[in-house]
Amino acid sequence: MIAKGAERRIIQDQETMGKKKQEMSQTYNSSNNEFIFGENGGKGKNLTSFLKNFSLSDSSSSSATKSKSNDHIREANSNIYGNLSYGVASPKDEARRSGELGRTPKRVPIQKSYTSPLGASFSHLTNSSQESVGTKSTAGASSSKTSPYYSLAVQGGSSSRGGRRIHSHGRPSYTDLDDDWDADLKEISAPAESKNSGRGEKSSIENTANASSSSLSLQASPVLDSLYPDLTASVMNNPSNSNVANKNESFDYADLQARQEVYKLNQLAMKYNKFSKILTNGGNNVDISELRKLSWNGILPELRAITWQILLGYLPTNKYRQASTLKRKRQEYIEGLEAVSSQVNFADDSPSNNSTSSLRSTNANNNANKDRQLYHQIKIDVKRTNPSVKLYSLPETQQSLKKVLFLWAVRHPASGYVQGINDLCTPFFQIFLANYIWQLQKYVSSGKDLSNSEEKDLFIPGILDDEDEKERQLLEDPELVNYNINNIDMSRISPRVMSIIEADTYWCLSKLLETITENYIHEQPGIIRQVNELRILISKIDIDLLRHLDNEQVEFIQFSFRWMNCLLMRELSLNLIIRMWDTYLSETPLGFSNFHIYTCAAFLIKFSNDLKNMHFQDILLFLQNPPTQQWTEKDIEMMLSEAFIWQSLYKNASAHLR
Amino acid sequence: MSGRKKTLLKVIILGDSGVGKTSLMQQFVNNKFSHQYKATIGADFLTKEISIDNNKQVTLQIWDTAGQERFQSLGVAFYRGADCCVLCFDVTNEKSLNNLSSWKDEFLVQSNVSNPQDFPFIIIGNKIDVDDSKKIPSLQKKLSNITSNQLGGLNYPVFETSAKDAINVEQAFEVVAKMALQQEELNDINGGVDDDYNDAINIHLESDNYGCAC
Repeated sequence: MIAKGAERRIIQDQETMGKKKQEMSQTYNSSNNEFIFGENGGKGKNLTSFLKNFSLSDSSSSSATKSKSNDHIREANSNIYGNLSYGVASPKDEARRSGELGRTPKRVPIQKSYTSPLGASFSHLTNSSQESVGTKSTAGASSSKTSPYYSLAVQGGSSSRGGRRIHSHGRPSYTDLDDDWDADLKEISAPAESKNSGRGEKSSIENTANASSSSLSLQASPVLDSLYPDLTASVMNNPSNSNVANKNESFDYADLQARQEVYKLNQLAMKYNKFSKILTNGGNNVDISELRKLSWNGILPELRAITWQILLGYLPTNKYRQASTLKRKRQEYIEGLEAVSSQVNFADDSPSNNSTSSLRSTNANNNANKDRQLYHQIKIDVKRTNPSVKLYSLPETQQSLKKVLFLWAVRHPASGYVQGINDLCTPFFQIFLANYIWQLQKYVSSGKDLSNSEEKDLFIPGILDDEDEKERQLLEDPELVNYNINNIDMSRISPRVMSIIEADTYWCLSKLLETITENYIHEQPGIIRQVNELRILISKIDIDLLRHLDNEQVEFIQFSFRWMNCLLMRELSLNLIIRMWDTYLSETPLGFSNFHIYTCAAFLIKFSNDLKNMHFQDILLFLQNPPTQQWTEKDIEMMLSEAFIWQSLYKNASAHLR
Repeated sequence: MSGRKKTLLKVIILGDSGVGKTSLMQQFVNNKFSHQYKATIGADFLTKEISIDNNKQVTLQIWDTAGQERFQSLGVAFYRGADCCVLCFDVTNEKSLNNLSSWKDEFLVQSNVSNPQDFPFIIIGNKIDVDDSKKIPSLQKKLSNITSNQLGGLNYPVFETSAKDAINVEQAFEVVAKMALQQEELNDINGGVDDDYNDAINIHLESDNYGCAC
């Protein structure tokens, strides 16, 4: 979660403050590194073999390790860089490979950092520039969440050392010969956060030398500490290696943990402040491009609702227009619902089939029949929406979803309701419900007076109402502070508020679906296009996988249709989807149409090695139920980063996709 | 299976949304029932190995399709090479019964089978566990009307099942397998122009009359 991301940045911040060096070198080992196309993507086996090599060399004496691992590293790095060349190596790739170590300082190495001592964490920094930079320095970036070959820190450290040495041997400086490569990156990396870019310039030597490792750039005087970061990493991850451990101070894990806790909280607070600053902006208009940049890497749960609404263009960025716009929209929803609800009874919870008996009546009232048919479909699907989640089994929730879906379908006859849209409205519904609970809690904790607080600007306007009796009861409930979307009694939420949540859900769903209308109209041409583009993309990125699928006669539409139709909501847990949407909503244009294809490519390629060992039947069975149950936000962020890279590579090179 | 490749039979399950196609499949393949199935999107793929006739091992590759009309244009991708098609309805939902013939037509149009006249279909009426009062009134009469209607051409084996209580599911799919096998063999003789898996399968013609339930 965000907390995790924060946790990981802790240490780098601490380090910049320049504490005891020895200590730093220990904590530090886990703090660096960017991402590689690791086991979770790209040709994972390269990373794996890299790590294997590395762990071998790591067990030898340190001096031997240096020279030995250098070769390994160089080889591994080139393997990894090879991932970026996607397919047959070209001269361009060669240039990229040899050049990456000497890249120009303006390309600040990515700072997706890992600071968990066990190498289990992953974080995006908060500006999007590093994304683009990350693209550049994927070479040394590392990501492996639960790699058997321990932590990212090891990889980061080792690759950084490799980088240094190679650099000192005077490798040619980097020149980018590939137009595509640069195309989208400049504009994004331009507004790099000053903190990062400043840091990057200061330690530009390290940065360029260790393009793969942000670790050095994170420290004021990195040289000593990071000279052999892999050694400290091995202490951390391999305590039994006493030989190496003796060279370092004993390591106090508990202490580190405690500090991490503190930093985690600090990070969260910092992130909150950043969001809060952008969202309130001293009463001025919200700077949406700043908001996008910040949100790309994940939004704090409590500020997600308002941020999503702004990113979707539902909530105006102009503070003065916010309240009135929402009021009007919510009223429109209520009126729209009144106009269509004569046909159906939303409270009707009877077995779905009863309604169909009325369908055969006559065609005297054809439209009414159609509506009833439509409602029947929505009703049976709402019952089947997240059936294992309590919130969605509640009649209040189901009734709200039915209203939203029915109104949307009636208002969009070209598409109508299509199965899968029911899934798409659930993130909005639960985010807005959570936001209501948060507003109540915040309101109470502020002493029920927000008038002087800047925080009132963090409230989506028009939700709280002093006049609302049911709301007053909730506010007086001593248990309120413990409520969340999983335990709140929905019957205690007033109809007024439910209507607001529905309206906001309706409009946000509409905004989302606007970007993918072609997915749900007759013959679903949008999905067909996406499926085709996915195939072409895979042919660029992982031709071996494509050949294998072709040989096995697996068609992309057989497994990826649902990925497009439900935006991967059937493959990933709802919480992960919500995190994913933070990023989708921060893309321009919104990421649900095109960026999603790149995400799907990253998703498929994560399983590339598995799939290549399977035959037709097993491939389909595997992809129908991919092993994502244990996935965390880290995996999602990894996948999104890869998607970003591929989009940067191929987006404007439309020839690639034809 | 000496020297012979495994016999793969491709089966397509069609029918209105919510009639219990997924439940039937889960009951047949995994012997379980749940109230928590999500709506099928596109089509789900399942397999099951069974032995029929004289211990002949076959693998059923089943495509459990989505019931919503909007997905019908997908049919081409999933129907091609089918050896048998199961038409499902819900015994408590008359509309789903009336839609059977359009599902059949849709299938024949999109699958482009070589023998539309005698392509094997089977009809399954699901949810017989539900209280009688909720069932389609005079179901048997309506059913026989539909199946004996020469124009509609739905004179196929009919099974009434309960995916929930595991009634008749096994039996129905045994017939499905037999019918599919025969179709497969027929395709083999004809060169199986429409069959994706033809290369992989080498079956000798065996005269086996499946006994259908009617």
